[in-house]
Amino acid sequence: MYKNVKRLSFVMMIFLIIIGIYINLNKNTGMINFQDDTENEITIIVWNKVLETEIPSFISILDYYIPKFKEENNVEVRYEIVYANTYEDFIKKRNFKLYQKNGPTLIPIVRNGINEKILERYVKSGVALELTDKISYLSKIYDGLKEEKVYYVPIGMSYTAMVLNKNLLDKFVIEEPNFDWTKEDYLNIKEKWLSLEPRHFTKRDYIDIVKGPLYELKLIDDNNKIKLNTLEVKNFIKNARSKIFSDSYILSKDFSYKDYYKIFVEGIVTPEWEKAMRFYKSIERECLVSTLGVNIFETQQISEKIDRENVLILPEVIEGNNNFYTWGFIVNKHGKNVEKGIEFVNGLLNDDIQFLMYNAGALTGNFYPVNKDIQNKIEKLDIKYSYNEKAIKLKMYILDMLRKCNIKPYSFDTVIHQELYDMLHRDLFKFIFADKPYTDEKLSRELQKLEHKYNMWLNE
Amino acid sequence: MKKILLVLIFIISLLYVFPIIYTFTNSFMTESQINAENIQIIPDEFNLQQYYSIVTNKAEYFKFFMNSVKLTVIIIVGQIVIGIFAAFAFAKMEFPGRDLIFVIYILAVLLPFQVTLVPNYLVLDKIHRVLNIKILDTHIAIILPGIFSSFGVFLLRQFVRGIPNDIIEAARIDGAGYGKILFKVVLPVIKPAVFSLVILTFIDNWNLIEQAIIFIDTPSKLPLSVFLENIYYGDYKVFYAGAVLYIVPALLIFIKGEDYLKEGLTVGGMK
Amino acid sequence: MLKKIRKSKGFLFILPSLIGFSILYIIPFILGLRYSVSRSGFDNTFVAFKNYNDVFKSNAFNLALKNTALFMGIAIPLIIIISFILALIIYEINAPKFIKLFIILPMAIPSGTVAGFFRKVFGTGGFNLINTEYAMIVVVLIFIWRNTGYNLIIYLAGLSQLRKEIIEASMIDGANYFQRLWHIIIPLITPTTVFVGIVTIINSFKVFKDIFILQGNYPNPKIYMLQHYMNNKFRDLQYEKLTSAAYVFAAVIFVFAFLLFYFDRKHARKVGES
Repeated sequence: MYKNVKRLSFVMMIFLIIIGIYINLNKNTGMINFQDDTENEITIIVWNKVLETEIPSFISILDYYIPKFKEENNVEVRYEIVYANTYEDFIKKRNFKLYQKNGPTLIPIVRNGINEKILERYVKSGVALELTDKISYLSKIYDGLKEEKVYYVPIGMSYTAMVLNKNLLDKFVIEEPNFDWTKEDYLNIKEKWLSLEPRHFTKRDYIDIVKGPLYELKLIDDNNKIKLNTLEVKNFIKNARSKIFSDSYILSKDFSYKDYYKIFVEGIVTPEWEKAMRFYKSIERECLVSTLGVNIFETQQISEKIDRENVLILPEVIEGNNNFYTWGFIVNKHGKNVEKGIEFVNGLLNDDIQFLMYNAGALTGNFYPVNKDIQNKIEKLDIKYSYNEKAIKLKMYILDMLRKCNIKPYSFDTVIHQELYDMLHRDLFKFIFADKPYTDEKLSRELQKLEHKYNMWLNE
Repeated sequence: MKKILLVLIFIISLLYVFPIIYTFTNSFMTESQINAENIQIIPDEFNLQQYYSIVTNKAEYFKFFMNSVKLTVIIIVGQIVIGIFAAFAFAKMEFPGRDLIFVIYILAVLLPFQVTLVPNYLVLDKIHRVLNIKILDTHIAIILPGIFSSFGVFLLRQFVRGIPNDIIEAARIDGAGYGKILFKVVLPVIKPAVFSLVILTFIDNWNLIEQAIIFIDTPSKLPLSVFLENIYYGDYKVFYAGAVLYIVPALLIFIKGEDYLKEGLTVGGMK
Repeated sequence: MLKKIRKSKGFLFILPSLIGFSILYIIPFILGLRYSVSRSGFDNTFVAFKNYNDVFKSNAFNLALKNTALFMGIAIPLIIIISFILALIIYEINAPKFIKLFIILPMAIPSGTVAGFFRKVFGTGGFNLINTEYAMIVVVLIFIWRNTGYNLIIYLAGLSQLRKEIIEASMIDGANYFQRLWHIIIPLITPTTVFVGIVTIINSFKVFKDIFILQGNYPNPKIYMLQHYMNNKFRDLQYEKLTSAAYVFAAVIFVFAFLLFYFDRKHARKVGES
């Protein structure tokens, strides 16, 4: 009896010794630390891919700001880097960290009016701290960006511009459109261009005919229910088909419905996609609108483009084409040193830092300052660098609209996951690009099925 | 009769292994052949280039490999050591609440892991803050739940139960204490079960992805399974090649383990 | 005095396991329950059964529950039968090692690797099953493919433990193979089957990974399962709904687990083990 107790305790002892050795070996690698030296710091949770990219990202301004903030406030600022391979995994890990008691202080997010679900979730679940009277410099931002209840503080913004090929335009347009052109103006010009001779169907046409009108349909009502089996949707499909299969477009014989699907919707790099991309590049010079947009606030780049090429650069007028982005911060209610975090965000709206975002006439990190008080300084800088007047005027036009609240960045009324929106898009694709049009009966049935499915996803 | 069954089971096993053959042969193919519409089995060219690209990255691959090995080995050993005692106790020893506790052992793991992952994370985080022992972001965060999972206890208990009580009674009459009974009588008999446990635990932990992603932050500590998952987003052919290299240790373990299993079957007879 | 020591010895033997298990499994289980009755993962206010109510009202949850129950109801008995039959055949004819290897190998392959293969076979290129009404077949197939090996190992170990004497005695008694199978082997293998049942339930949760790689967050509604629901809830920071859904599901599973335990008990009493 006693022998067995001895044996048992012997085994247990060995086990404990092994654990002890292991702990000892790891002591130097910082596994056990008897002092917590992370008390006085704030953390910014960020994806490793954002930090590791060689292209300047929206975070670039922080490289200038963080050292200053550290000095003035005697607070350590640390990036809490989340290593993930896909965006999904990144969100998963980030969410985990948010459940900690002293979790990450600041969460940078990019808002583009379509991915509002992310922000909504942070607010509804109680992660985002309400900042409505806590950020004193919030009064400095353009009025179009202000919100009643502030959970998100914008730091920088970006607006897409279309690049039109003037060589083609001059052939049939008498009066050059002005900055305040509307969607109808653009579509009229496009009609005229198409009527000259049949053109190849490109991604731009896809945006104009399918993506834009779909975005405008506003399919979701106040009760968060979607209506798809409606006349509106059917007309949308009919119109899109009539435009696409009209004589204005040469639908390339080499591409079938499946290929178009892969190119426009799936976006995965496949041989078909590469073939299409090469094709589009080769016909670039014949296209009215270039497939690549530019950031309206990149005055230097636009100025060079106007000077060197014969282009006309105007604001994007098709809604839903990811026109207006802003990036900014949410403060984690349960984060470390929340007060210091709020000061950090506030300081980013300061005149000097915001001006640094337009460092030497070019954007640090692709986003333009949201601070309207420094606009004069920027104008002076633009004049000093003698940027093309048109480029400057273009920018002023947009800023003016922002001041008057004529541009609303967060215009997507009902909040739906970007993913669902893309899925809906793909599902409707089938009806639009089918070789033979669906009969009304069949279409109704299919739309009803889709409606049922999406209502379920919307109210998950 | 035997012959027919043999052929039948051979065909069935081919069905099982077919996707693996596909992976194996595709790992030698070129990109375009992989992306072709239908299933290709015979590679047009024998490309070793993707293997080179992994192997030249040798330091990295080897490091992740060693991470996986370390995690898996420690968990297997831990499961066996802790499991044997507990399984014997649950099966043959009496103490109050024995069956109730065992039922709890089962029920607590019948949930999908997502449910308990956040509380798990928080428990480990709290241990960090209270006891100042850093567990998250080290391998211990994965090893501990692995060792204390009730799987080993459960498996071994089922097999210990199969041992007839008279043998145990006989040993006790001979004056052996419980510890001796465990090591001299029970253990030899349940050898097949122990080796099954080794193989199954190996499978469970070699393929560990979710827990590794959540509990470990620094990329250098990740196990091989996660690393492979990451390079998937590059290139199919490199991915297939990596997967083949990844299955090889599993293959070896099976083949070796199978030998021990066979041995256990003959030794673990009666008496 | 002797009895007391014997009893405490029992505790001693399970102590390390019990301590570890409590901290790492039981406590998170209870904490999870607490989340399901709080307003959100970040707000501890007690809201009783509101979350459970909300979850039951959700069409998505009901669909997920139905699909998961359907999947488990079909796949689990099917795979138990298949693995048992395969194990029996392999055991009786003493099949060569590589056959076992082939069946076991699918367990070791990471999900991402075979996704390409499955996409080709079941996706838009091949049979295109996964986008139709019969997508559940794909899930069941993938599940069986992956997990048969697991159960096979357990059954083989179990079969090898059967006491040869009883079987030989029945052979002398003149029973043919099927009688032997039905009256002796199957009852004797019940503890192993119970174990396989429980383990298969646990493994059935893992099939999510394969389906997720193929179809993402919002798959074909026919194969939208509880795991998808929970995954989406986690992404949306609605942890309280995730836990409520999970514990409802757990309640259903517990019923099945208790059924299995009942069979186990009945068998144990019949065969006269402790």
